[in-house]
Amino acid sequence: MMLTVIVGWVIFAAEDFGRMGAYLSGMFGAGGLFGTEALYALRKFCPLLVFFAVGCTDLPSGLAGKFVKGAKPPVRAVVSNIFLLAVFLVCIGLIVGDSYNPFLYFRF
Amino acid sequence: MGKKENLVTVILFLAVIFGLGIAFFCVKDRAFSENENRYLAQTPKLAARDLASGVYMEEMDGYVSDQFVLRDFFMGTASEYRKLLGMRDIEGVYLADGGYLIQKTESRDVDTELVKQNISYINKFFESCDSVKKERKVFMIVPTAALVLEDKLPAYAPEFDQEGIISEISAGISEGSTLDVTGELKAADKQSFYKTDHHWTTWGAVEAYLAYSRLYERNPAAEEFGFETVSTDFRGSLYSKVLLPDTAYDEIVLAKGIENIPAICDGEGCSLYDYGSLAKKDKYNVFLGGNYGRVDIEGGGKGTLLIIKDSFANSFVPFLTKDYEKIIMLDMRYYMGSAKTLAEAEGVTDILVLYNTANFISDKNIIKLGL
Repeated sequence: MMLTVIVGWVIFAAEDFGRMGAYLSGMFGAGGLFGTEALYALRKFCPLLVFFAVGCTDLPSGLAGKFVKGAKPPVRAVVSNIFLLAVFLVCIGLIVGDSYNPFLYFRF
Repeated sequence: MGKKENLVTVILFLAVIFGLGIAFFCVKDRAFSENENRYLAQTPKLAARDLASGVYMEEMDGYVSDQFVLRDFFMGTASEYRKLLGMRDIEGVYLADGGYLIQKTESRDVDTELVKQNISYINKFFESCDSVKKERKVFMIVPTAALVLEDKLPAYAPEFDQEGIISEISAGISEGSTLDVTGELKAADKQSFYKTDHHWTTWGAVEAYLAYSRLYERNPAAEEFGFETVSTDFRGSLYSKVLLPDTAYDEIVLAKGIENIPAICDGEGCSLYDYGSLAKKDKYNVFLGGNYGRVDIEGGGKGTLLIIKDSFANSFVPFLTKDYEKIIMLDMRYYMGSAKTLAEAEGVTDILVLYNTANFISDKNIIKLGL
């Protein structure tokens, strides 16, 4: 299922068929499986991938639950809102500064 | 979580979204970013042709991004987040050991064809200036911090093959000599590059000057330059890209033993050291006040030196002022004339081409030397 999604994204994002072909074949191993660039990219994004993987489970909300256990509702509200606000501000920061434009929709 | 708590969250989010949106329209557009040392995008003009081609949307993209309220705060927050996640390079800058920010230049940034062409343009330029002796034509190649401080980079850093390019340059210049100062910069016992800027420090520049002098069999003593610290809170170009709050501050050192000679920058008066720049953000501009198409300097020595350069020569040229009677610096990005004609007209006796490798591999102005 995810494989279909990931391949589908390439079709969606690629600007022409040539680029799409090159990208897809690279994804499936053309041009070597491991290069120093790949190792570097892996090392760079590894913690992020782990972070996201953990985020997909209910581990964080479980931990959060234990963290605010016994606290009164107003305190829980404040803590959770501060957290959400912080996440939101980081998201804005990532979009504002990023030279790579994540808004693919702009390109249509 | 009750309905009330959710309501608070919704209000908070709406407040941020609309607050930023309204602020965007209310706050006057900034024209210039002190931090990034560049002019910021202004409102793009709406034209049907641009809308259809997508140019308008791209410009709108740039405009919104540049004029975003509290941009520096947001970018700093994003950088901090990436740093916490263990990313060792952000926005094209490595977070290297020892608190160094080092400019990242990847293999894919290198236009190999352009490099070959640039080498041949310089070689042809040397050849065309036949009134200057071959041994007085020098191409000084200045490496980036990524090569000089390569032991501080994160593992497997995807840097371009700088040594290979330098070898290619050395092999390709047959009408003059090349001077690769990598060794001198690596061996220097003082800091040769800034921690927050891509330029070399005054210490790095003086090491290069000593190497250049040795080519001419001159052996000046570095002590006579009277180095003094003139700033202790410099945060340069690389800091501006990452904006991490705990970035170190760099010191700027000047050779006070060298007189602050007045010069002519593009026809207007200027001087070797522009102290006014120390009060602004881009303190590296203390050297000559920035980059000009043509700078003329009267020195206390003999001969006329023509320097074809990028910004690295600005902190290097003060040391040359007692060696030459006249120094003319040309920055091909801004100089629109014929360098060869100028060399002949001014009776140039020595030519120095000085480029940092990162600039050299992408410079599209060196072709103008052929004019």
